[in-house]
Amino acid sequence: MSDRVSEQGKFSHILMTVLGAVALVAVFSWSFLFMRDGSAPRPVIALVALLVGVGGIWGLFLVADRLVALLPGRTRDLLRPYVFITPAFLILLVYIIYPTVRTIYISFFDFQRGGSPVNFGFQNYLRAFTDPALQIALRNNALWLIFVPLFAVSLGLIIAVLVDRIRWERFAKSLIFLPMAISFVGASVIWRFIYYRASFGAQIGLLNAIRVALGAEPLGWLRLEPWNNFFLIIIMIWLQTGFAMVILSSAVKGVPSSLLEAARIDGAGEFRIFFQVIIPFVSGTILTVTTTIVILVLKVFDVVYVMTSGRFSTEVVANMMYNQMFIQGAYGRGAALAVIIFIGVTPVMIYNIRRMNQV
Amino acid sequence: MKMELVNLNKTFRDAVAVRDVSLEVGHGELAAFLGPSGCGKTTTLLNIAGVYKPTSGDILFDGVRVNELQPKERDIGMVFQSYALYPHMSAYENIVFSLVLKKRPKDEMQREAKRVADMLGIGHLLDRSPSQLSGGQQQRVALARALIKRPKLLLFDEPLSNLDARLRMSMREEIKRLQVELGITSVYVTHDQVEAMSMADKVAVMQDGNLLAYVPPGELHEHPRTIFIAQFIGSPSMNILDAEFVMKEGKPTVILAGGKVELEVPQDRIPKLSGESRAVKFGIRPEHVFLEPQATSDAYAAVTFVESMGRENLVVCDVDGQRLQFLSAPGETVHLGDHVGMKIDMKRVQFFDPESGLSLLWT
Repeated sequence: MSDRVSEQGKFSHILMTVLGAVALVAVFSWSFLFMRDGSAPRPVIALVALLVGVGGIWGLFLVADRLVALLPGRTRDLLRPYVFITPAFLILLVYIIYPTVRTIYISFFDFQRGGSPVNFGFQNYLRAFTDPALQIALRNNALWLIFVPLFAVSLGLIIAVLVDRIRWERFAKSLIFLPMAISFVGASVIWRFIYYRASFGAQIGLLNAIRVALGAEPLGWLRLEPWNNFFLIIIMIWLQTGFAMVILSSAVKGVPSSLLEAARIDGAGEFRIFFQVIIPFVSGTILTVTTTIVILVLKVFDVVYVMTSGRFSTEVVANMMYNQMFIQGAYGRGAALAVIIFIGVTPVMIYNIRRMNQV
Repeated sequence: MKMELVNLNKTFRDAVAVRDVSLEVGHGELAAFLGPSGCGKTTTLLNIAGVYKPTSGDILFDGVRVNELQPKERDIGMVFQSYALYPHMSAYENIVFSLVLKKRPKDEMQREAKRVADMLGIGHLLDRSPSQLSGGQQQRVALARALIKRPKLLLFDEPLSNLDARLRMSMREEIKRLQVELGITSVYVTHDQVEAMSMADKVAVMQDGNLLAYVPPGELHEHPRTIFIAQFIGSPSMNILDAEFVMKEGKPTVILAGGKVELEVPQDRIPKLSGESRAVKFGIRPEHVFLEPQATSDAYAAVTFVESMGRENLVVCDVDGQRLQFLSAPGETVHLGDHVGMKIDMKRVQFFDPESGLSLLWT
């Protein structure tokens, strides 16, 4: 990249930079129109998007850097870092910050599909909090919030400590980590077959097949209120225990063996060592893993959507928002629910980011 | 308490870490386990502590077999190289942890903590957390934690290795003083021969899992049983030269440097040999070789390296292709490339078997 521009090369430098900028604008506007209005086959559109996306970013960096190179020394050095962070910042702005602000904005209006935002006020929030469905959803979210982190983290920690002492540690850890490789939707489909109740013919669901084999009647697990909430929560625990275990396992391995030996010589039993030496030593990691899972659980949607779509009192706020927003087209009410989730996640998020910055 | 190891063996899968070690540490004695890293000294210590269980052999405390006892049942205190303080507890909580586990009353804990803290001069540091303490202070806290149990046996695993040189010397003295005052039987693992020699009543030298010698420090230095011990103990280390021992005109003589040097061997240093003449390894410490005018010198050689050690210089010579180092006295200046004459103090020589490396003087 050109660091400084000599006097004689200045004219050609400016010319090239301007030409490059014009070419970029042309390519961007053409590809935008092509992708929006064109009737080309989908693979072609995808290919264009890919090329323009990657090549365009590269071109942007190049043009911007050449422009900065024209500036005098001090200003150039001050501005150069921003050349590199601006694109990332722009993408954040367009895809995260703008939608957030827009969502907050429309949450204060009556806004139906096909209409426009009218009647500014708190009606969406009032409605949300008086809606008995939201009461159930909030209760369920609370259940998720308590049980998923609690079980995923404690199981993860116990497994991490136990596998540390066995020979086939890698195999055991891979097995427990495996669900992490499955998408939430994929995992939910698997668990549908575990809870499945056939209305006629053989029971092909795992649990009901066992019940029938033992001579009991098949059960509609997913309709069994309020236990069905826990049946869904188990799926998430199954998915997240591996994550917790892997992170905690590396932390547990960081406990110096001399510390454990010192505790043994001091007279501590294995349980004491677990609670009074290992847990305090890895407490920072436990907190990080817990908050990460808490954030994930606050946004839980996929599992509920696939398993029950929120029926039988298994509704959660994110699924409710999806229903309002995209099924019923009630943008204003959906946005209000999104803001409620956002408010719930934000403090945990801030806490987590602060912690990560400390490390 | 008297501590005995009887034919102690420890193997990890296929690797032998400790092989047939037998020794006895008398009541109130401090035994140092000395050897390079990986020689099995720490493994032996952890067997005594009960962290490892012996593969075979016995560990006896006052004649009672303790192989099966858990570490906490053995009445021991241990100090680690890395201090191994509980990072989330204050110095006080670290020290009294073993009493907390025994559910002792609060006032007893405070009294005992004060007793050991005063002994180590850390009374003013008890509220601090380990991260707020220097290395030396942390090691004192670790020592207090080991002593509060009034152990019958103290185990040290390279406790001073992480400290700087000056602190190491003062801590060395302090540990030794405490150990003598309290009369606690101690086992002290170290790779530092100065530490072992200065602190121990008896030094156990280990190499590749074998116990090479278990003798008082003076004897280890003066009567080394093997070439390994001879070179491991003492700094700078002993010169070992190829030589031949013969009876020449009725006089016991050692021939060095391919025949260029012939020296008479005093009566009390004559190697125990089966035949009349034989190839041997000739050992002499650097401090027993002196500069000498050429006319009266025993050997004459070129200087290949001079290292200033402050008070004196370490001079390295090439004697017929073999390395010989000695200390020049203060004031004597020797330069690289000089040819110098040397006198060897024959009353201090050592002889070793070239094959087995065993001493031909001491058994």
